[in-house]
Amino acid sequence: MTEEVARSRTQAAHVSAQKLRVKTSILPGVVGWLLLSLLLSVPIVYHSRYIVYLGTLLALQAAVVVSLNIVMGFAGQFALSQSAFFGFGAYASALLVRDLGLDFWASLPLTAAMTALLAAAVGYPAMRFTGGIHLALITFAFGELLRLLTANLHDFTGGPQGMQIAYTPGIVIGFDFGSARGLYVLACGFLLLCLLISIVVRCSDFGRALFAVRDDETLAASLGIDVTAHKVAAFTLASTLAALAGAIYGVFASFISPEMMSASDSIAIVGMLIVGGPGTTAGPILGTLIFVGLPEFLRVAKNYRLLLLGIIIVAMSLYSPKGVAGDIDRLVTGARRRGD
Amino acid sequence: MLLDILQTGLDGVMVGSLYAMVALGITLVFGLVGILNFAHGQSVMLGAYVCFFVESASHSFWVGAILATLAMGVFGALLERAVFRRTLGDPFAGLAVSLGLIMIVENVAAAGFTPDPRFMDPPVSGSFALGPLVLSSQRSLVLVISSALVAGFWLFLQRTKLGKAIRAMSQSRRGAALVGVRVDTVSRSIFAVGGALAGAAGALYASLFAVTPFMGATPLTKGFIIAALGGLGSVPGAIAAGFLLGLAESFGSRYLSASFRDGYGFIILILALLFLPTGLFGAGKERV
Amino acid sequence: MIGMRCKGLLLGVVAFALFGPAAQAQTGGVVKLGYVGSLTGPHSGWDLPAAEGMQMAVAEINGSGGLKVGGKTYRVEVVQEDAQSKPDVAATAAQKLLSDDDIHVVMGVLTSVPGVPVATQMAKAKVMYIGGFTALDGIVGKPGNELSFRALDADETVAKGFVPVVVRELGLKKIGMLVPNDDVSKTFVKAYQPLFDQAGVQIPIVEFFQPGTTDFAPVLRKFQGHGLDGLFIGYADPDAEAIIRQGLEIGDLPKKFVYRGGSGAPAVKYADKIDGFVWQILTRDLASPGDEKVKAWIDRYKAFTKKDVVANTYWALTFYDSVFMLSKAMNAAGTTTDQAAIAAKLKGMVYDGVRRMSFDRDGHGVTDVDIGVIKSGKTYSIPEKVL
Repeated sequence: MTEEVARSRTQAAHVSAQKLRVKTSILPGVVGWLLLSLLLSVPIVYHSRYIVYLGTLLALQAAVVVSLNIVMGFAGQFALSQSAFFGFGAYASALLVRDLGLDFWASLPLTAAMTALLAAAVGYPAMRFTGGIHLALITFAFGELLRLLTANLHDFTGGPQGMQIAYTPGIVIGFDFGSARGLYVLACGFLLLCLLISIVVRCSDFGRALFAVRDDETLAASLGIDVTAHKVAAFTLASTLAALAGAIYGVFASFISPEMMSASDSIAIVGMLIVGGPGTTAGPILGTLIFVGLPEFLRVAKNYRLLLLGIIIVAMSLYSPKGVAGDIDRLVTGARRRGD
Repeated sequence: MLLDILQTGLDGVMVGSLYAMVALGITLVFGLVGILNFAHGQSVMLGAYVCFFVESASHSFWVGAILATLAMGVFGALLERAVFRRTLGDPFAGLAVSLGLIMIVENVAAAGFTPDPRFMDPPVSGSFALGPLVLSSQRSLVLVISSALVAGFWLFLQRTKLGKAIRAMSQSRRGAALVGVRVDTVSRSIFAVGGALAGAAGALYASLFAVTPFMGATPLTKGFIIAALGGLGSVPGAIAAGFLLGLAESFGSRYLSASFRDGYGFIILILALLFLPTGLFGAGKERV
Repeated sequence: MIGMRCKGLLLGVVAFALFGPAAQAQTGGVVKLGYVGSLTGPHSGWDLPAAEGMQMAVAEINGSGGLKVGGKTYRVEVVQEDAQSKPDVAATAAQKLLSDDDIHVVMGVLTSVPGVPVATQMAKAKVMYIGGFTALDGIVGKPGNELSFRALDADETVAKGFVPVVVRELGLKKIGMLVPNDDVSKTFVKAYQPLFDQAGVQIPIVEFFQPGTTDFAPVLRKFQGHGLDGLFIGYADPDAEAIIRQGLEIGDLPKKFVYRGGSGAPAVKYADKIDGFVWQILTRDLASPGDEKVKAWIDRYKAFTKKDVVANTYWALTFYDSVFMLSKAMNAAGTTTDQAAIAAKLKGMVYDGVRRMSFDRDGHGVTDVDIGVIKSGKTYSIPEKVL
């Protein structure tokens, strides 16, 4: 009897310790999320049209990097197709509106469903049969193929010259999402949604399984985790989020073209993630800010912006593979451990 | 009609051999050090520029081509020593580094050379008749040179000590080290040889097509497709796949749609990677 | 010595005190013009000279006393933003200009892919926009775009006079068209086919190649065996040069070329190997200038930019005359800020500058152009009267 009590007590202690661990691991994420929401609401107060425009652009860009983090940072899969799905989402939404007469909001769930199907169709064979490097190649080739198809199907997509978007999200609950401020709110709202999903995934069993897959696939399989299913799920989720970001970008820029799907954009997104810190929550945001903000901050000529970024990527990969967020994390944990 | 097919076939073989030269560098580096060097295309571009500038100054294509080959060989060795040596254990980092390198090299080139396309004067021009065929002189020359280089490289791998060391390393790095192969030196040679081949390919490209700072993207993409098709790490696979892709593109553009030219390669690549992960000939590495 | 300087200074102060405030009352301040274009990237070959031309015109206006409107004198300033040859960067650059409320007129962009988003933004923000790119012809005049203008002729406008000249100069009976697979090409192919038909020229084959192609051999082979005597080759210099060179290499292909855009540069190296090359110069021919106005402009250009005239320089004339037309329109309307009034005066205005230019009721450019010819080792141009 005493033995059972003792056992159940240790079990209870175990469970509550785990719960506490979950709570502590989710807390910094939530706090960071709230802080970010606060920061993001600042430009709405500012009257500068340009800042609002830039902010919308940044928010959408960061959302895509957050989505990449789910498949590359958490699951460790090298996916070079984010911008392809970004473009796919933009075109899918635009075509649904144009050809089926839906409004913007109605097109979103359909776009998400279509993207999920496509991503699963591409991801499943790719991840079941092959490993990391092959995936990089397949997603790269897929992205380029999608771009070429979009550029060639003139009558359907408007061809390489792109498509004009004449509609806006319109007025919902009395707030005009088509205005500059409205689009900004939409973009930031979406970014916050992606972050939320990222945090929830991270702290869930699903996320833990992804980390296990990232660290050692064979070991993960031996622990009973369905490796392929998890990889495909992560890839599908990431691609769907990227597609939705693309749909929002469409109404924001009023113009979409196959150039949105370019491989160099996918590479830049990977770069942003690496610089910021793959696998962390704040990493994608930091990476986007550095990538886009640093050259502006340093007043470097636009020519040299990409050069600077290339140097940063090389330096980071060699000396600081955990990215900026990873370094900060290390410093903080180091400080905590030292008892500061 | 038959003539046409023959002509198209020859075009395809010529383009294919150029692709194969680039793919060899990629597949070798991958096979030995597990790194997919995305920046390989930049060696082609730089080689093309070296050849262009040397040819403008000296009016000799041959001097330009030789210098391009040597320069890119040195460049490859430098890259290995300075950058890739540090990422040996981490293919993720290696990939990321090479992506960063692309951005650096491309933008330095664009700033330094200006984005205007350059056209180099080829050593021979016009066409000649071979029986009923009318062949372009320069293209035939390129075909001869690139085939010779590929064949020469194959012989190098088979006959020379360094070549054998490379093949030993591609089978087992540790095993090679155990039998006394100087792994570091050989690694550096791989990068150097791969770079040299890319530089030579660049010079040949420059003799036929426009030279721009962004021209490295196409040979790179084609190189990947071929390396994967032939089986990553397999030299004969890369050579065979190179010719295959060249022919597919040539016939596809000629008899199907010319506006979808690059698409054929991508479709082939995706199918190959999905269903034949060790390459068409099963010679590549499994589960990479 | 010091005494002299002090006296001079005193005199200057007194003069300023007497005349200064009065002079200040006459100056209206600064009029800002925006320029957005691809100052870097592959499209800079068009947009950089265009920017230079605009700057030159503005400098000349300032140099001759400034912009005089409604009794006040203004100094003109140009605010430049780089589109980097990319549509998304172009949109951001346009936004940056739009965030400056002092900019009421924007010029720039000669290529359609970055241009369309710029024009869209300008129309949305109700800012006057004078652009150069081809797709703009499908935008000006449409509802919502009353403030948009194109400073270059539409394909239909030029083609009418271009085709008969080409057919005559080169003696064409049967041609093939090899153009890039994009909207610009698709539009002008539609414009040119009926005109060639009218001139009695057959077009048995039209091929669209993938933009970015470097190896034209396979697609060129499609043109063999049709008995063609000419090729119509698109609008971008690098493509044109590659086609000419590879066409000569492969052999059994026509050696007469019709070129819709760019410059004469693609054919220069092969002048002795080909039988003829005719192209459109949408502004004025600077290589063999016929009239005094062009020659004088060339001298001013060289002095202003300290550069020599190259194949691309004629794009500098895209916005040059437009700046003067703009100042005339502002004068006539009596305002530097009311875009609708200025636009109304600009439409229908005929201006005899270095180019003889006008804008029609919708904002399309209608201007005289030159047609360049390289034939039998000679390079010359034929003016085409459109206006």
